[in-house]
Amino acid sequence: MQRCSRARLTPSMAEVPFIVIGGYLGAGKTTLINKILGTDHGQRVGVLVNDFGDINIDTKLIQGRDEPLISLTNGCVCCRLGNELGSGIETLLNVAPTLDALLIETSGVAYPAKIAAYGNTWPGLSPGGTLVMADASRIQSLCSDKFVGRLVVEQLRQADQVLVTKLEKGFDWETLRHWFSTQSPSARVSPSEEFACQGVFEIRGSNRHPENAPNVMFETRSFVTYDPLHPDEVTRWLTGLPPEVERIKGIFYNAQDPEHQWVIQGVGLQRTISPGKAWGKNSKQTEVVLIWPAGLTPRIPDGILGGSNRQNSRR
Amino acid sequence: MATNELTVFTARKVITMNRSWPYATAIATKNGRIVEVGTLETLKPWLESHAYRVNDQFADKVITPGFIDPHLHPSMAAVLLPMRFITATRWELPWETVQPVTTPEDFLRRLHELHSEHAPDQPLFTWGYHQLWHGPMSRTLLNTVSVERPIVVWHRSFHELYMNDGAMDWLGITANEAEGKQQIDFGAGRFYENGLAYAIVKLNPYILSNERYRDGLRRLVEVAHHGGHTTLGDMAVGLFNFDMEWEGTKDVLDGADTPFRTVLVPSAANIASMQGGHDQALSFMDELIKRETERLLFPKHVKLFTDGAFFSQLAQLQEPGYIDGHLGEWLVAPEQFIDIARQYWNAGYTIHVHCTGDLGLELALDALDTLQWERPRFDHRYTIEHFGFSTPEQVARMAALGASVSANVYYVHELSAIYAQQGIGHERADQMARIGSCVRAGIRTAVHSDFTMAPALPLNNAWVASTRQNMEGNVVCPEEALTLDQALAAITIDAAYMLGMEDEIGSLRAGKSADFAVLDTDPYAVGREGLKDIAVDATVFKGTPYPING
Repeated sequence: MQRCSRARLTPSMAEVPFIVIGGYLGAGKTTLINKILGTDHGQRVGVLVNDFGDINIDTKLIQGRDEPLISLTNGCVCCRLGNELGSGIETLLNVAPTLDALLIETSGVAYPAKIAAYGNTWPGLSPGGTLVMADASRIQSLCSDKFVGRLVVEQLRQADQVLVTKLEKGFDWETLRHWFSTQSPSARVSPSEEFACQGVFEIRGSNRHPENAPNVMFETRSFVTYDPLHPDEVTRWLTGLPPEVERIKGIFYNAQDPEHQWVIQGVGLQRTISPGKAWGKNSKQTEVVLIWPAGLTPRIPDGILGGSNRQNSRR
Repeated sequence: MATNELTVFTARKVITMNRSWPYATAIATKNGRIVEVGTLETLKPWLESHAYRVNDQFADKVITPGFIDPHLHPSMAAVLLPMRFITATRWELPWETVQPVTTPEDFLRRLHELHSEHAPDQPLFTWGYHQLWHGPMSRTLLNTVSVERPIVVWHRSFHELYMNDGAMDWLGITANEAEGKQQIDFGAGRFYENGLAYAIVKLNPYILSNERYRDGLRRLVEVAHHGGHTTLGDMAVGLFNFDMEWEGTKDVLDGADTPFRTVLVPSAANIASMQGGHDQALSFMDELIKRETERLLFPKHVKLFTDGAFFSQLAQLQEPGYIDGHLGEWLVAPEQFIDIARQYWNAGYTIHVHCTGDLGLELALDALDTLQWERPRFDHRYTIEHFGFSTPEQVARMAALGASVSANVYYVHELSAIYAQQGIGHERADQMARIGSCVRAGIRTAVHSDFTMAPALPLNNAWVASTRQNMEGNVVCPEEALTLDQALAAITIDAAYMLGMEDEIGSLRAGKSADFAVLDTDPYAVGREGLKDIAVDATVFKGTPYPING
């Protein structure tokens, strides 16, 4: 019997945080997504959007288009959502096994918690928190709307982070903040002007359980090379990495199996390579991300991957 | 081939559904079209001037117009029908009668039987499992049937499934990725809600494969034929994937031996998603008429949605809502709904709106009210589809605005008792599918199966509509029952009206297509109570008889 599909090789320890951006129509979800895609925050983000038409990406940033995907030079990938959220998630996880986060822009009538539940269910994902956007000029009247009042109230209640947009002069922010705090008792509430894109990656754990918030800074280094590599060389390089490198994720272009992506995984000293899906139309390349606690200075052997690299910091 | 010879079908009784000429015993046809309905005596002016041949194979039967289901989903049927049924209720399928299986032991015994008769190199899918009858299900239990062959047990509600080791291995679902996840019980092999969505992504390459999809559609052809249908409405083309569905539809439903026509109504949201916007969707739909064939029709109809699924209790309700306080869902933002409806309204389309709850209906009616104010249209046939929950005042408003109703009346049969207990209480649950009021208000009212949500058996639907008898055997809200005559109209002439084809089908009169259902019993002799037990012996589609075996 022919196999129905291939197992995805994302190991459970390398789960990608699944971050939900919700809120009613016109609250500014797409604007935020555009800002995240255009900002240099050092995160490789996969974004699920309803429609590319609304996404406004600097054309210089676009590396390639392959429906339903657009890949960007900063490592981010956008995927247009079709009928099924699940297919979109799978598509992104498959084309980009080295993502740092997966962001979804929900439809204006979605209950964010329902979408966020995918972070608990979907193999390869972990919950990344729920941000709900609200248009200051409209939110209170929406909350008593005949059709969507209960929906909008519920959207706010399900937020970990509320982002208030369209705050014009004359708004009494303190009164408004108080109103939001009664609507979204477990969320942090911020005006959108004071919210840096980086904050999207810090929703989870930073509000509801501040005592558990991970406070360790990590540093990462990523490598990209386009030459085919011999698997023995890759294995030798991986085992030669110092123990300070806590996590490794990536794919490589295997000279002995040029038709398939090969997946690199590492947690602690467990470092493995395994065959993945066919390259298909994706450009063949090797991309590896190394992650270690900030402050340590692991000596990364040059070897085969010593070429182009960049270093980032993150929490 | 065109001919001048007439074919005269004779019958014990012809029920024409033409209220001006209700009964007959002979129908003269030519080239698939009715020339005259009457008796051999009254047909004489035609018969004396044309060559003719009498077809008396139905001489002891009762002929009615061919049945019309104005709302079902061939694509969903194509996914379900290749599965083997193990169900708590008896299920009549053309290729088998599924006997009720009501204990855990019998479920397992039946699964063993299916395993031993199923082709060894194929995965085995079953549908119909329900814990109330069949007890706890698990991967371990399924492994006792087979560890190697993939076995997938799909729940009656479609909302969860179980797999054995063979299926997990086949799909490449490993402990590494699935263990410890919510809505996936890896140990038990159980996938539900979002976990089910994960399983479906893995299963799609198989269940939507060309071969299996076409096998499913061929089974749908048999099912529809057995129900006595001569016209179907595919009321959401593009639900899975427009191109894939269209290819399958052309290959199977357009076959020269298919005994019915299919009216295809695209789902606006799905087409917009495929075409990259609603403007593009309209241009795309305007061109679809060019694809029409003898059996596949694309009238200017479009399907929109307001609120969530009735079976999942996601209908949007007005106060006081659901007993447990949960909320329904919108399938589109209300302010977008009216913009989309306006686009099709102004382009002259007939709009069908999926509405399950009374708040969903309110949105559909507010939109219609606005559109009538902006740009009045007569005979627009804005149709409320499903019509789960409603208020008497909304019925009056529908009549005032000129809306029509195509109801899934089977809700009353399967769900009224359980929704009274575990949904919204007796008052509102009993009044679901308020179609008696609609007919009294002069609203055109048809019933549909929404197959696979209800059996594709029009006479059974007419039975539910006219008796309002539920699964428990109780009659709920007899005030909303149709009369026998109204119930028959709801599966014939009024169903034709929903598809904009009442001039062509739905009743038997001179000039219409010669589409018949041939019954073994006169519905007027057995009355409403007897409708569900009437057998359909044959259909006639465009003058050609298609017998139904056994």
